[in-house]
Amino acid sequence: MKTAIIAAIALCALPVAALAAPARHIPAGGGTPGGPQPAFSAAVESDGTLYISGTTDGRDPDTGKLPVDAATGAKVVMNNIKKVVEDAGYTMDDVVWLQIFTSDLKYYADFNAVYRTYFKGPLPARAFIGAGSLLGGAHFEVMGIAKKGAAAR
Amino acid sequence: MIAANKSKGTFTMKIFALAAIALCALPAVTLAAPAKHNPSTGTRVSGTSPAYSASVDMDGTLYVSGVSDNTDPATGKTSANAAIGAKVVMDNVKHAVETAGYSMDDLVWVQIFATDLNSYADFNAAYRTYFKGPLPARAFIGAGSLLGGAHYEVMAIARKGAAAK
Repeated sequence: MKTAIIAAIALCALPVAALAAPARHIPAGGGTPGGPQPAFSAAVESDGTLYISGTTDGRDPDTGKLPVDAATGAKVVMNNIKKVVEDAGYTMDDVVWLQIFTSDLKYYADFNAVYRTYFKGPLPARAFIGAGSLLGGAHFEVMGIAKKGAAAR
Repeated sequence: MIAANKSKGTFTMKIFALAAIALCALPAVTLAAPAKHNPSTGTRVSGTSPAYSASVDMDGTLYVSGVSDNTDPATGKTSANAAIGAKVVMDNVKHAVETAGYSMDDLVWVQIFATDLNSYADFNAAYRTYFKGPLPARAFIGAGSLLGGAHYEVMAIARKGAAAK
């Protein structure tokens, strides 16, 4: 029993001193066959925190092109985020922190209307920032952080 | 009688063990230890008393301040071009990460702000060389302008031990 207590106490000390487990890297798709893979993972998970790469609305899966307007773009980029989050075993309501970069701040209202529909509970902390320009002429680039179990129950 | 005493002793021990296990759960709800702030030595633009730490370490998570290529150590000026800039800015990230006792492969999240998105491919070529394992989550964003005429500003988060073993 004494051994058990000592073991329990030793276990208590572990989380502080021990290294985190190696992170889980979720690969990004989109590399050209035979060409270089993207220079990033789609997301990286470390100890119940999911770090989500920026994704854009540069390519609407329905058309293979840039979305025709910001409302469509908002849906495309948020679908991308949702896919990464859910593929990693998290839910949208586990997202705690998001950054939205936009090529034009006038898309704010259109973006928000679409954005809200992706969450059931209270909304994540967020920033909406005017970027000088975005890759592929995108309207939006969104990146964020989710915490496992953060969704309200 | 002896058996009863032993049984009582075992019961007391069990309580102790339960208490010890309960204590284990505590760190999750109590306050974390104060963060460790790694001072910045500053740059040509920020001066030697910058309004930020180079990084802040909190419970095995390292928050790395934005660094840029506005002070090329070879010239003391902004990098001559984006290709050199990519190396200068990533050397700065590496310095901040390693000074704090982390490795580049501990990085889990990186944000790159660039004044010219045309430098994307060049940046990536340099960027990849700083990692051995799978790459961090990342965004590459066009910034309107950067301090000191920099080509890039990069900020990041690392997790102690995140590097694949």
